[in-house]
Amino acid sequence: MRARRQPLLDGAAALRVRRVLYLNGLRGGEIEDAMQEIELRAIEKPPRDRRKAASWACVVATNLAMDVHRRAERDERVLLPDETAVLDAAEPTGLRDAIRSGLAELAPELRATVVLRFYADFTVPEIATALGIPEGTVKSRLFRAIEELRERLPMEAMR
Amino acid sequence: MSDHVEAQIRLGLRLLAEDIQPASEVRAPFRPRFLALVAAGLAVVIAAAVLAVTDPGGSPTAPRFVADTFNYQPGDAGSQAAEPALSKFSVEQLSFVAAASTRDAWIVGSVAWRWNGTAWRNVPLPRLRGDADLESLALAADGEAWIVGRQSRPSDDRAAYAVAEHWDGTHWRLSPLPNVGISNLFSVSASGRDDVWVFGESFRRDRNGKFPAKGMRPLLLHWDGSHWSRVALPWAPSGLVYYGNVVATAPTDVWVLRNKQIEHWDGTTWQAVPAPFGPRDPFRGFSASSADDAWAVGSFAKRGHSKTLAAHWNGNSWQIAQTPNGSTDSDLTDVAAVSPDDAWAVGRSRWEDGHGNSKILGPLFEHWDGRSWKVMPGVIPAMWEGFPSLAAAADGSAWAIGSCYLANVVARWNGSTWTTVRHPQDHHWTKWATREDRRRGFPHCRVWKR
Repeated sequence: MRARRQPLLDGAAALRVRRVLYLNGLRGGEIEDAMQEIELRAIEKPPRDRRKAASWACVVATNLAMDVHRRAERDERVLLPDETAVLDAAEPTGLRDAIRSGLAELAPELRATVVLRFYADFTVPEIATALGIPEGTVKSRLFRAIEELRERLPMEAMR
Repeated sequence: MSDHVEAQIRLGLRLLAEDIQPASEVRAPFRPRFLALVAAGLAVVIAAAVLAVTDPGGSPTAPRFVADTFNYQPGDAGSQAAEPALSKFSVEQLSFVAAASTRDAWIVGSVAWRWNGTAWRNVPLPRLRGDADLESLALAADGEAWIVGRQSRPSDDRAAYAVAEHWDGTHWRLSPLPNVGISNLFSVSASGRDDVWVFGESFRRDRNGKFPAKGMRPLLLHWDGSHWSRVALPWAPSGLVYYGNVVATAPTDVWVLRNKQIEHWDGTTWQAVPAPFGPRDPFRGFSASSADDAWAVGSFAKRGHSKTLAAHWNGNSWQIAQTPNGSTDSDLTDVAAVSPDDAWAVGRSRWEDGHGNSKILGPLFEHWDGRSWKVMPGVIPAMWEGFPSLAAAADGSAWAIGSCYLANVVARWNGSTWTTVRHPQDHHWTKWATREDRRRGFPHCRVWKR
């Protein structure tokens, strides 16, 4: 005699958030740890508007990923497995490989900004609010990130 | 030029993101069963291999991982749907558990399984033209049972249509419903074979073919033993339903819950029941054994931490009961009231992992003996995601379902502890797992003892 209730993220939204974590460089168990943490935060301080739960979770996920990178930096050890080694079985699509290696080289803040803007489809003001930084900083991060990624794009490299 | 670069970055990110796949992309409720069994067998072998290479260590204060009692199988996270009407409640393949006794219990999702006292057996459901998601099962008298949920139609697979099925003791058969249009049923409860209540919602499509929240209306149906009829509710709010439930213990004791609103039917009139908790405290579960014995559970925040919360209805008012907390952060997500001195609650708590970090959201089982709530021991996966749900019966049996790492977990109270129970399912987790996952195993899904 129990009811249906809706977890914070449904299947599609949870997948999207996992992908945001992945694009931010988290792997395997780290992604699940972060998903747990998001669920916990939702218990402790639920997003105000449940319809925007997925966006809220993307923001939390981005911040968690940056925390992981900061901790790794502070502890001066590499927590993350070699990103290029994890997915060696993947088919060699030029663009995907370029983005993968390009992302891995980006500073965590630049990487997070790129993922929010071009994967999660946040606007510049939304990213500014999400990360608690001025819009100008978002724009300059995006500019720097695009410049760094551009060099690796297969089409661009030939120009 | 810049737009072109941005477009390439967008595309590249999308391609890369596809490394992370849903556990199951196909919704296949009527897949031939032998394929599922082959997949299940494979997954067990792989799980055992994964386990064999992971050490069961941990510090003395940490939960003890007991690899040898591992009987948990990663399963199918279930299907995804593209439209709000379908995806809103579509999360895991196993969505509901109902218990009659230690020898009789049901779990349903897109399929139905019945526990015969030793194992789960698949029970064939009526073949539907579209895909079905079954949300709730109610046991009626004399071995009868009801299932409700929704189905898609081949001609309109973007919308959901209410579906009800009846178990006469040997077969499931479709029970034709009144024409309620695009709709979704999420809860069924029966006080007897001629008093079955179903709660759900109906949708209205807008000009663009979408289903706006303001077009959603509560939908209450009643079965009198021979006919379905639509029952008018005393209130008709619109908008999304995050929590919907109907509980009938007698024709004169019916509870309808929609988000934080509770209405009670005494056989003649509807009466609004006050909210058990404050407006800001999450309300997660409700169960009643009679008009003067009902429980509501959830959580509240205290100094930045989540604490378990339970309230008892004595027929006149709610009283908050003291509930133990597993650790610094805990909540309760479901409750099953059997009698005034027997109720179970399930929830989650932030337990320590093997390294002294309190970060794993693990299971929390509590029992009410008529005087107090006590934490009960369990040997089930360390991680317990989503909102676990629970069922209990008068003979002392109790069941819970939750999930770990996109897999369903079925847990059973054996009289002294909670343990996991094997359940047959499709397994797609190996497709999802990265090589790193295979190397490390799924440490959080390892069984632990507390």
